[in-house]
Amino acid sequence: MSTQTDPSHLTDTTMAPELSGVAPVAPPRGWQSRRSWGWLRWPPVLLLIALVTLSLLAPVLSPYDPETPAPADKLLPPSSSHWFGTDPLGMDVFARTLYATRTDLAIAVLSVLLGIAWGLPFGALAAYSGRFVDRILTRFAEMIQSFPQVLFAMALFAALGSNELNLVLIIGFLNFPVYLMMVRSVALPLRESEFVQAARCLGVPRWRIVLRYIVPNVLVPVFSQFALSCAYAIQLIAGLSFIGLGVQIPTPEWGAMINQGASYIVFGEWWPSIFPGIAVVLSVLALGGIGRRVRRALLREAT
Amino acid sequence: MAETLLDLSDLRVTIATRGRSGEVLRGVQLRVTEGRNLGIVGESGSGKSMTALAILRELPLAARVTAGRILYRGADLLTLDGSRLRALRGGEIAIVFQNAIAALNPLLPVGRQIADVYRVHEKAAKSEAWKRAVVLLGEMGMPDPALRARAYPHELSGGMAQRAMVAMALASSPRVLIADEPTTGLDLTIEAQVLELISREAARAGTTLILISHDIEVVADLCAEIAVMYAGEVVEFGPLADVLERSAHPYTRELLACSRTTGNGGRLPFIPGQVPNLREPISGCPFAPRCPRATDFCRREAPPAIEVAPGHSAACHYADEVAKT
Amino acid sequence: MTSVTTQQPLLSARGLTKLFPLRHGLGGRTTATAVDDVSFDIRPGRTVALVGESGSGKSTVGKLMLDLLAPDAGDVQFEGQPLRALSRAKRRDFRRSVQIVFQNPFRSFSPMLTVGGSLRDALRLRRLPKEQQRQEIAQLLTDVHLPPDLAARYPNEVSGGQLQRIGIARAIATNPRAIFIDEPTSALDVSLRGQIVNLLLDLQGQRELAYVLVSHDLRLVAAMAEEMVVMYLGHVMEHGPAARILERPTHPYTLALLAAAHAKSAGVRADSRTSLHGEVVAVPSEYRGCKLIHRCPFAQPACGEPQTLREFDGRLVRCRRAEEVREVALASSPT
Repeated sequence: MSTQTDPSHLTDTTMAPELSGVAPVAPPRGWQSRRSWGWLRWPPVLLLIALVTLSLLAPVLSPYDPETPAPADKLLPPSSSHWFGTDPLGMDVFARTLYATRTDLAIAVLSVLLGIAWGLPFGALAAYSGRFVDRILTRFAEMIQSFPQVLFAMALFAALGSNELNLVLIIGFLNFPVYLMMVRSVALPLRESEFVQAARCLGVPRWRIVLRYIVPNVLVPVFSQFALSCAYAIQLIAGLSFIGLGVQIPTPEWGAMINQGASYIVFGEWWPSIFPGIAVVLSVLALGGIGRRVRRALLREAT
Repeated sequence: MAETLLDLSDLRVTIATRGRSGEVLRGVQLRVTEGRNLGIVGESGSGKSMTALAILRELPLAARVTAGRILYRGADLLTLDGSRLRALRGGEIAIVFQNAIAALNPLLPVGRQIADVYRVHEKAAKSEAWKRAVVLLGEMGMPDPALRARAYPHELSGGMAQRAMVAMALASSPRVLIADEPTTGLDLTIEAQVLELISREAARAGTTLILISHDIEVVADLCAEIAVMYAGEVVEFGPLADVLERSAHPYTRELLACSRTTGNGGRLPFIPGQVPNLREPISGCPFAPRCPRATDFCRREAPPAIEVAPGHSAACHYADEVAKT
Repeated sequence: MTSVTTQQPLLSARGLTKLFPLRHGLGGRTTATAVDDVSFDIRPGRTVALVGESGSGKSTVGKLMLDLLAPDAGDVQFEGQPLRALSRAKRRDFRRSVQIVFQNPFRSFSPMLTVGGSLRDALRLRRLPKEQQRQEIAQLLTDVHLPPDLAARYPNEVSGGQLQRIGIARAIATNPRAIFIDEPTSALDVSLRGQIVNLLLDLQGQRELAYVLVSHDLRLVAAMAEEMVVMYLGHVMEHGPAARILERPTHPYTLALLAAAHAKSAGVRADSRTSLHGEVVAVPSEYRGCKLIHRCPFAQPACGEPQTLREFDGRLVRCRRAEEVREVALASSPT
């Protein structure tokens, strides 16, 4: 009959929690799961790295100026001197595509970050305030989400003017309710979770509870959504620029480039539109793939 | 001569997650005879629930049967085709899960879920199936069955939802009913009711019960035979009295001591250490690191199942001696 | 078993009452009384067990006593002073002195903090310098028989039994005088429970700790508690020395609990006098009679009147037929 106290060094740890008697409702594991570096070899990640690298190396890779029209060279087909040919204004498509990568990715990332920056505090506020404030914020978020995004953007552009800054602001605004609701839905149950109760019993002050216990657990789902939001943002940016809102000529941007070359496809001059179109597809695939994988990995831990 | 309903031999199941794999069932050997309820007792990592899922071929996606057979009345369930399997599941072999409210379909009223059993397995007409469902709920001790049949699972209490699930399982008069931790999470007074219900109704319908629990006392009351599982294998198997009073495996002894002793100001017994990590290969007896009688031989050689009495066997090199103490 | 001291109790509940809204499908906001006029004292070195099933209110009592919830009536007193009226310094003292161990170890730690990180927060109330904190964390882990290097792990890298012990380490980190222990073993394997119980008993002996043990496991209560409070739907049904109540209950609810537990372990069917019919059904606050009335085998129409806790056979019991219950208990008791 074993009644001795445990010498304790029979440590063969890690019986996964899901096999113990009670299924834990633990939130995702967080950053430890990315300690190994194998994930870098995965295609979407490689693709994204390639795109970013190429865009940064644009001045090295192409001697052409992406914003100076050269009417004499308009609509030249792809050749050894113009790998992707030239567009209706004579500018090198390859160069413009590369520089546009910077534009699109930067605007996408900035606008999503903006959406998170707005959404996170308001989401936390909604979770921590009384019913009334929560109701108002929730209704507001739902209101924004119920508008068709493109029409809404068009209306805002009409009111504010069409430039890159407003593009960032508008897309950020469209992302804001997503993150508000996400943060709120994670923070609400966290408030009453046992480890927060434990912290309160330990006399941990409110601000420290929020910072050390609430925010880290909130950041995980937020982070898992980030890449996907960027993927959507790129589609939105390209789409809006395609119809003339957002990024203006001559700034290189994929949607605008597609728009420029659209009417020439019929004449057999496919290269001004197709190459930026491929770029859009590739970047959305890369970000989307990463986003889905990250979300699955981080949220998988929740049994 | 009572029929052997289920015969599991050398069943091995591996789970692979995130590039690593672990063997969760390591050669499970079990036999269920008609009319003799079987209790499967085990703790975390024992593989008892996994065994039930394997029988029904409802293993999680990451799990794979790597060896062994599951014979149901002579037919190997692992190689059965889709339509025959569907006929068996919910028909001749039924299962009741732990958290009834979660295990039932949240979008259908419970009466409808029971009626569906009649419609699928007996091709009954809709209205007749419903009537029979209501009657069955009443027999299961559900107060006001006509009203409750229209309720959704989340509108019922734990005990009532469990009754509904038992009704659903017994509706097809199965030959075998597997109950996986049917009372865990229920209040003590409700637990008694539900266990009594399961055993009474199963006996009435001629159904043989396989009762899975971590609580040896739940099993002791209702079963004729017991299998004790540890780290993915059956370490002891035999008639109830034999296993409980003349246990031939050290783990069974220790477990019984932990379950039964009422400390009165003294120390309570426990088993030091933890269940082995199934992701690592195990050499020798899996219980050796925690066993008070382990020898070097135990750590080197995995013990075979040794028969200490007719129908009573234990996977321990020293089974005979253990049984005599 | 320590004798009851006559000094002022460390913590006491006085007439605690807490209401919760009952959701009815068709509007109308009725309330249920989750905790209904509950009083008991906590003294150093003694364990009081709160026993009951789901809906009994025992966990809510815990939250009230730890000031995680505010009562609707009655109060909690810490060293004679009501919690609401504590000065800032006294409040810190309270937080340091009264701690909690949770039921499910996996839910009681933030998954994003290491074990050491969680423990460090527990030490804040003692205002130790940084270097001493590390030593203290190592010491705490050793006190609960765990290797000190566990401090660098995350909660999901640690087993259930170990995590529960870390929860106990966190509870003793502030050098408390009382610990509220909520179902410490129900989430653990049977073979590991004894270890936790032994540890708790050792710590209690070493540090003169007062425990409030919430449990539905009567075996645990028998092993640890001197005093027992049996609760049903917020009401105290029976309250007195644990050994005496377990040996001969005088309330139908206690009788039914013991019969169910005993039926399980001895394979004896509970009979009609010792079992309750039906299930727990929440009762609206307006009703002031005995809440067990719909399920009680001893119920009479007079039970619909308010029943008071009265002294009988060395304990307090809330039942007009306690004498008969005692007879039934003695008759069916196993010996």
